[in-house]
Amino acid sequence: MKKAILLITLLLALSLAVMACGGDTTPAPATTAPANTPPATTAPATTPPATTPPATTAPAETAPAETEPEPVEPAVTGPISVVTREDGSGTRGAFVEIVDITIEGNDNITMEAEVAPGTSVMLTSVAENPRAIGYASTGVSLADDRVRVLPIDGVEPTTENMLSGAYPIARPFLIGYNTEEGLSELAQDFVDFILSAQGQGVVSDRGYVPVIPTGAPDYAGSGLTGSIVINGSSSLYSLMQRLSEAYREINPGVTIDIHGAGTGHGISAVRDGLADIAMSSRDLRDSELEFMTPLDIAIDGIAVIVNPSNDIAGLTMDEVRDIFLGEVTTWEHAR
Amino acid sequence: MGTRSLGFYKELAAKIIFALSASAAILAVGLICVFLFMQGLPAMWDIGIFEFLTGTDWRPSWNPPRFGILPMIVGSLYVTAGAILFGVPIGIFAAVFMAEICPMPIYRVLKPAINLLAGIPSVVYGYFGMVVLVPFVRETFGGSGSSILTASILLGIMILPTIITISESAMRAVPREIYEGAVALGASHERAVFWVILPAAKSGVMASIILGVGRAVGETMAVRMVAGNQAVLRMPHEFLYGTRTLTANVILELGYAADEHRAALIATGVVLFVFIMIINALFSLLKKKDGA
Repeated sequence: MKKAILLITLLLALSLAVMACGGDTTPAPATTAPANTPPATTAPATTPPATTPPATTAPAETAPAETEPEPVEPAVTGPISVVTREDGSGTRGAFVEIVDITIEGNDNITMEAEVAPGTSVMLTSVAENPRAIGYASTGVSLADDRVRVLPIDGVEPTTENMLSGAYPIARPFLIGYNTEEGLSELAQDFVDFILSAQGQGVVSDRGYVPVIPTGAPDYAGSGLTGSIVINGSSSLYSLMQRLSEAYREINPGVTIDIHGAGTGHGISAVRDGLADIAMSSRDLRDSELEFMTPLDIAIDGIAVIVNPSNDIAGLTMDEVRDIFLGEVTTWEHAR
Repeated sequence: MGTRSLGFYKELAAKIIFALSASAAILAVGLICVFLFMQGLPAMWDIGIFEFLTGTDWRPSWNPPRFGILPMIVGSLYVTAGAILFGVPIGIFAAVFMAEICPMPIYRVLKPAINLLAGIPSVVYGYFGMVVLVPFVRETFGGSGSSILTASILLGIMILPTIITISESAMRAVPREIYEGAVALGASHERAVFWVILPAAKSGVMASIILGVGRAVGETMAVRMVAGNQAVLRMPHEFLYGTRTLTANVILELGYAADEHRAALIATGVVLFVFIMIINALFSLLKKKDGA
C-alpha cells in the first residue's frame, strides 16, 4: 500500500518536474514573438496548454477588427522557417548560384536557416513545418505530395518549362569532349547510349529532366570492348554511375572509370587528354568552348517547396532571394 | 615432461592470443589518436588555434573561408546540459524505483524495455524526434521546432538507459547491512533508500551521469536530425532556436569537403576528441576516488 502511494507521488513529482520545465520555457517565445505582426493568429499556436477556452475565442473576436473588413485570413503567418542544404551540397551550390543568394560572390544563405542533411530530411522538414520553405531537385519534389512546389515568376517547374528555359531555377547537366581529338568509337557509343531512350530513361528515373523527353532512338548494343575515363562534376557523378551500370549491362566488355573531382577538374582533364569525357553541372565558359564540344544530357531543376498548408500563390526570383538571404523573415511580409 | 611442455605451450599461445586481443583495442585508440591529431592539428595551426576555437563564423565555402567553431562548441555544451536536465532526474528516479521499490512482475517488463531503449539505433531516435518531438515543440512552444530544446529532450531520452542501468547496479551493490542498519534505527523503507542507499551509491550514480554525458556529447545522427544545425552562436535563452553540435558539423559537411575545409572538419573532430578525453578523465578520477 505504502509502496503504491510512493509510486504515485514519485510519478506525480516527475510529471510536475516536466511541467515545470515546460512552464519555464513559455515566456521565451513571447520575447521572440514581436516579429510576428498579427498576434491573434500566433498566440493560440504558441500557448495552447492552459488557456484553451480564451485562446479559441480570442482570434475570432480580435481578428476581424485588426485585419480590416477582409474575412479571409492567410493560412500561414509568422516567421519563415528557411530550410537549406548543407554547405558543399551540389543542390545548394546550384540554387545559390542561379538565384544569386550571394554577397561578393560568397554563398550568403541566412545563418538562421535550418540545415537539412540530405534531400529526404529537407522534404520531411518542410512537410512537417507549416512555416517552412526549402528547395530540392524538381524530380523528387514533384513526386512527393507532402510538400507543395511553388511556381517561380509564375512558371511551374514542369518538364516543358524547363526544356524551354521558362522555369528559371534550372541548370544543365552536360558532358564535353575534346573538339580536336573527337570522341573514340567507344566513347561515342556511350554518348549514343546516354541520348537513347534507355539512357534518357535512366535520367528521368534519377529525378532529372531528360533533354529528349520523347522519341529518343533505341539503343541496341555495340559489342565493343575497352575502357572510358570520365571526370568532372560531383553532382553528375551518381547519374553517370547509373548510366554506366545500365550501359555495361548491355556491353559487359566495357569498363567505365568515373571520377567526380569537380567540373573544373574534369574540363582540364579532357583538355590535357587525361579523360575522354568531362561532366559539367554548369554551362561551359567561352574559354572552355575553344577546345571542348558540349552535349546536354539532362536538366536539373530545383524546386522551391513549402508546406501544403501554405496558400501562397507563388514567388518571384527576387522574393526567393530575399527570403533565403534572411531579409524577408515573415510570411506576411513575403506576400 | 612432454605433457608438461605441451601445457606450457598451450598456455603461452593462449597468453599471446589474449595479449593480442587486448592490444587491438589499444592499437585502435592509438591509431585514431595519431591520425586525428596528425591531420587536425596542422589545420588548426593554419587557421590559427585562437581563431578556430573562438571564431563565431563558420563559412567554409567563402573565399576566403572562415572556420570558427565556437558556435558548435557552445551548441554541444547546450544540448548536453539540456540532456542532463531531462535525463538525469528521470534516470536516477527510475534507477531507485527499479533497484528498491519495483515489484518483481513490473521489473520483468521494465528491465527488458530499458535494455531495448539502449539498443535502438540512433537514426531511429532521430526519426522519432523529427516526426514526434519537433512538431510537439513547435506547437507547444513556437519556433520552427528544430531547436536546442528538442535536441535536449531527445538526448535526455537517449542517455536514460545508460544512467538507469549503471545507477541501478551501483545501488544494488550497496551492502544490504547498511540498509538494514538504517531500518533498524527506525528509518522507513523510502527514507533508507533515499538517505542511505542512494548516498552510498553516489560514485556509481555519478559515473552513470558522466557516461551519459559522454554519449550525449558524441551523439551525431539523432541530433543533426532535430537540432536545426544552424552554425550560429546562441545564448542560453534562445533554446527554441536551432544549433549545430561539433558532431553534426563534421558529419554534415565531410562528404563534400576538400582540402582546407576537410582539414577544418577533422580539427573539429580533434576538439570533440579532447572533450571526450576530459569526460573520461573525470570518470576515472571518480573511480579512483571511489576506490580510495
